[in-house]
Amino acid sequence: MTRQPSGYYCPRTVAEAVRLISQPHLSTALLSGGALRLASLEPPDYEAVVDLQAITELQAIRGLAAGGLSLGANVSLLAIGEHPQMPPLLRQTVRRALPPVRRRMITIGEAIELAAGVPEVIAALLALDAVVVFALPEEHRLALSEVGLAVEQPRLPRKGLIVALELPEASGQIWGAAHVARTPGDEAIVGVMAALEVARPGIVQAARIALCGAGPEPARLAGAAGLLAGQALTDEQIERVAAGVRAEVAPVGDYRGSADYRRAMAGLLARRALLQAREQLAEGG
Amino acid sequence: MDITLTINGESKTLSIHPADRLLAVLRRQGYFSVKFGDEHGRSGASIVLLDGQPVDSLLMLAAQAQGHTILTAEGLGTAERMHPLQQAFLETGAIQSGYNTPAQLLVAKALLDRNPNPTEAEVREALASVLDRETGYVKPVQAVLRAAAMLRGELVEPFEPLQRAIPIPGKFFEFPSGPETGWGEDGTPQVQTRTRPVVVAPPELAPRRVVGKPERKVDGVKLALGRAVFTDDFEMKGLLHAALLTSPHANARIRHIDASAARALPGVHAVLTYQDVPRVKYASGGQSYPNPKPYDQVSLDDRVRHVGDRVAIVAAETPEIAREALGLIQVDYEVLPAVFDPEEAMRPGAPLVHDEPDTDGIHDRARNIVHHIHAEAGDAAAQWGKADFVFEGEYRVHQVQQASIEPHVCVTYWDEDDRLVVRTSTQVPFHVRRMLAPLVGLPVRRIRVIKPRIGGGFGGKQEMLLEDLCAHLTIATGRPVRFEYTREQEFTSARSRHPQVLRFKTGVTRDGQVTAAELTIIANTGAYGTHGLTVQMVSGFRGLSTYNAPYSKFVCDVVYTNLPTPGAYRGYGAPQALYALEIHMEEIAEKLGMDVIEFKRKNWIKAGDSMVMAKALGEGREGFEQIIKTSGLAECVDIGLRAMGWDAKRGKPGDGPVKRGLGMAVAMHGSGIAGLDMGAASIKINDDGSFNLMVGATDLGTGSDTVLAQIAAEVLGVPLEDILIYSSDTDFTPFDTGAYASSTTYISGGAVFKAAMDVREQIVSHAARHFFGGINPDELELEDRRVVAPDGRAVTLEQVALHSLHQGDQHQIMATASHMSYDSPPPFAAQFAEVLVDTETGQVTVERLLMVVDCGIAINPITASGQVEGGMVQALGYAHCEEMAYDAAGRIVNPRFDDYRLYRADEMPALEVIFVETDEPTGPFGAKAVAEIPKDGVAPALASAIHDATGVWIRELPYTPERVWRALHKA
Repeated sequence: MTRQPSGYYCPRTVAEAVRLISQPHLSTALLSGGALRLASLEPPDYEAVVDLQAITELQAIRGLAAGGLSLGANVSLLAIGEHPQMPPLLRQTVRRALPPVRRRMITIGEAIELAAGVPEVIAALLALDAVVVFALPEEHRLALSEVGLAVEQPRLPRKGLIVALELPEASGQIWGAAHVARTPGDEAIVGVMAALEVARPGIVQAARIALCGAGPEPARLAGAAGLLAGQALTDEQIERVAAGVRAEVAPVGDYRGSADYRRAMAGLLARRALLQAREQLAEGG
Repeated sequence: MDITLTINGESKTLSIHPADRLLAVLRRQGYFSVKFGDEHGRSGASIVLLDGQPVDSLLMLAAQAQGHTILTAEGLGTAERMHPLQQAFLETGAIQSGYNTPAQLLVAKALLDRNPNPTEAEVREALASVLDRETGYVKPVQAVLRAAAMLRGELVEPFEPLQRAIPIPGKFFEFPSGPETGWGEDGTPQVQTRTRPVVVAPPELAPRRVVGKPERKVDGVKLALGRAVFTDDFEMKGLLHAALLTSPHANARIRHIDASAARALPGVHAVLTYQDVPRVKYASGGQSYPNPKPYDQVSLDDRVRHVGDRVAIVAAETPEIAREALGLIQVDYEVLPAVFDPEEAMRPGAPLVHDEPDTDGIHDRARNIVHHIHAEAGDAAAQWGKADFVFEGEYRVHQVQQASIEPHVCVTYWDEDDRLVVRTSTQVPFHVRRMLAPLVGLPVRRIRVIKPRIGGGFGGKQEMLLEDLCAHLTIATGRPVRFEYTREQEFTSARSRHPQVLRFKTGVTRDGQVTAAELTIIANTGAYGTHGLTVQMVSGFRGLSTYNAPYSKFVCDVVYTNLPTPGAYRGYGAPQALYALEIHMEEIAEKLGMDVIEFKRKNWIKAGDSMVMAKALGEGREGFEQIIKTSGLAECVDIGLRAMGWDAKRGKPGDGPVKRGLGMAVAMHGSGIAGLDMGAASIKINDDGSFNLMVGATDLGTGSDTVLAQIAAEVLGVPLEDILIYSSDTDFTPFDTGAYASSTTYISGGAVFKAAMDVREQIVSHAARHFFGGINPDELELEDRRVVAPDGRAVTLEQVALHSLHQGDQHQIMATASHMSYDSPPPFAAQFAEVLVDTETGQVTVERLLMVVDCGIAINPITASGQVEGGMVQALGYAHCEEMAYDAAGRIVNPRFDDYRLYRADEMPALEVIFVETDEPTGPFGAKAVAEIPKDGVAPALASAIHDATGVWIRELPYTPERVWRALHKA
């Protein structure tokens, strides 16, 4: 017989989903948005699909007590792009990179699990210091930057279950984004997302710079971002960071851009992203 | 498992497999408006509304639809009561092939349901989910805005082009200066100006009733309603599904192939390899008899010559079983060295692509040169002697794919008379029938080829790619078989545009007169010859005709490599040549210190000139003398310059890292192949005075059925609705070479004109004799469905038809006519582009494209402008972002949409079209061609604009960020 999944389950609660996924002799795949999971007609390597769409608790966007937002794993990128309280960096990124039907059919949980389809979104989430909340293997929280980000394979253990993504409070944050692409709506060849916490006027307390297209997977650059801590966003400092970005990235070339080009763009776009952030500083952002 | 859902208002309980995609289930239920475009859901062709929201049914399991409500295009409206969106799509000409129209309608409906008054940017954002390879999105956007107004209860004006007369008052060309805003900082899509085609017509033209009018497409209603009209929209008992095993190697010999495990798989009915089909040599290009040699292909071979080459074909009960069977075929390959670069392939010791002894007609097998072309005309010594300067330049163009959203697909079956029926998405049904017969061992008379509606072709379907394999499976199994390429196979196993290295050498006098020109091309034809000869001959002809140097010379080597095979692609060799030519000419003007427009104007071919290379370079053989009878090129350029604000903007790149540039290129094409293309048409009258028009011509979505019907209606004095056209069926329509070479309006239209004139003569003769007392028939006119005498007496065509069929002097009023022309009058155009170049990243953003076109008389200015808009966008992809990229082993690395980048609706530049009409005396009602010329000018216009912005010439396509960045840094 053909190798097609023979089981379809549609749990109503997280607990029910956990029970289904935990069955030791059943190979399962999670299905929420579908645009990434089902983007192939090749025979899959799982026996059953666990469709999460009916779990209402995974569909909510709510405020966190400590500030920030919690996004249920089933929240679509479309909803994120339209939500007025969403950090503008994330809102802009999902709208730029994907047409509406794809945004509707990719959930944030799916995006994290199968990052290959949405590297810019992952980079934006890294810049925003997103935290992933798991219900499996055990209930725990993990910074997105600590989650394996291998692009070409599923990034989580087969039995993993993401239930939410938390975005820390972003008020007082300044941010910038820059990219280069073949056409205005194309996936970035290189994209840089920067989010900066400003403690006192003009001084950066902490910075996060995340890139896509400048390495095998979207990543945050700790070294280059560290150059900004306690510093003012002067032209000289920005140039130092751009140089640091160029030194820190390990690009992989392909038909859209060689490694050399990507390295050069990483530095240039980091400078642009930081200049964009600095404009918000000037505007009192 | 069972699911219950509501589809178009009807509750249904369906038994499904848990792995079934919603798309497959909907199509099994007969909702054929939901289409397949690609396996990854990037085309958007499979979009439906789920509880009112657009979702891609390919990317959903059917099980997920349990309890939900689904709307497909079939549920949107009826012929009697169309949804305003369907109506607006019809009225604005937003439907070309109609393949993805249902998806566009549905995303638009969802938008208008939540936002009755959307901005153009919001419409574009909604339409961005559906890739459109045909319209350039201009008319779909206009249609949605129009429908929104209709739904709001507003009165909308008839959608017509803006008519202007020559001479042109300046106020008519106060066009907007470009997009109002660029790409928004907040990520919102670009906002574009709204454009309508403009027709600038000679004032002395005789008034016409149907020709020149923006008639709705004759096939538009069924397409708007999403009816089952395409090849795959077809149900047949016992249908088997085919799947093709392709080569993973660029060059290999099959030492052993074992299909036993595949044949043993339950549900598999046939597995065919080279051991199972006769070895009959052929060339797959859909061309006139005799197809140009060499015949270097067989249906299945023991040698594979590129990744994606045919290895084995399977027929099984389901697509899934067929795909699984492919994995069970054991192939032992002897992998051979491969070569991908044509210049390397010509070197001694390079791997041989064709060493088989049974292929004749390869020019130099040892150097992989399949064709060597040498043609020249004029006095070399004299013309080079006149030149004060000699300029040389080298240019490189790449491989791109036609990327029609409907893949290649066909269905074969035995009919009740044991004749093989081939229902196929082809541009060349008659060629397919003739070429298929020897491959499957059947006489032509036992084969019937039917072309239903076709979801885009662009030359890619001027090829017999699937039909022989599908037919072999039907012959082997006795069962109907369906065979459709995957999207990846569209890239690896279909056709594409020839990559070339072009070298121009041009002699020019001190005052800027071109005296001599040489064009040398090395062309990569991949693994097989197919269109290799003729595409390159067109490159030579087009590259040497616009400026028509008194001495011209063309030398070309067409070279085999181990890349997937190029073939026919809209433009057919001209886009490559005109890219190189137009940059070369502008470089010469720059070096001479001349204004580029004046330099080109001084040298371009003019009415009354004879084309120097016309006799030397036909298509696959010697051509015929061509004298230009009409040219509106000077007017096209002048009008375009004013519309673009050329003088105010050119040469002003601005400050900062992002520079603005304006570019222009001249284009010239042909109207069919002189002395070769032939079309035929039959027309007969019916009892009610309507007419059946049967044509072999193949409407690819271009609107050619509509244009041909308009020609007949004009001659016969009836409205368009009285012409019932049936096309492209080898049993029931007369012969036509097919839809290629910009031939349909000019050649097939000529046949329709002749047949209609013959029928007209029969009508007036019969009427004169039986209704007007023997009046001279020449005094009678046909108008408003009547035969009218000079004194005002009239009889209806219905009266004439009934009398001639039933009452007196009984006969069927009908006629068949054929048309072939030794003329191929060139359409001309001026292409303009406005770009922004980010000099730090190399990213080029195209803000505006304007094409001013002389296509003779535009028989239907709406369908004609749709051709130009869609063609410009394909040409923009060629110039800017599309490329087939390979790894070192010859495997294409981007065989899916998005990786292979097609422009989306929300990132388009403003597109504008102006027609400058000339009255071509050899064309039907003054028409010339329009389908291919939009492909010719965008790439050089972009090069010109980038140069205007940066001062740097970039002589290789496409203008991707890194290529531009490196060129700027090198400079």
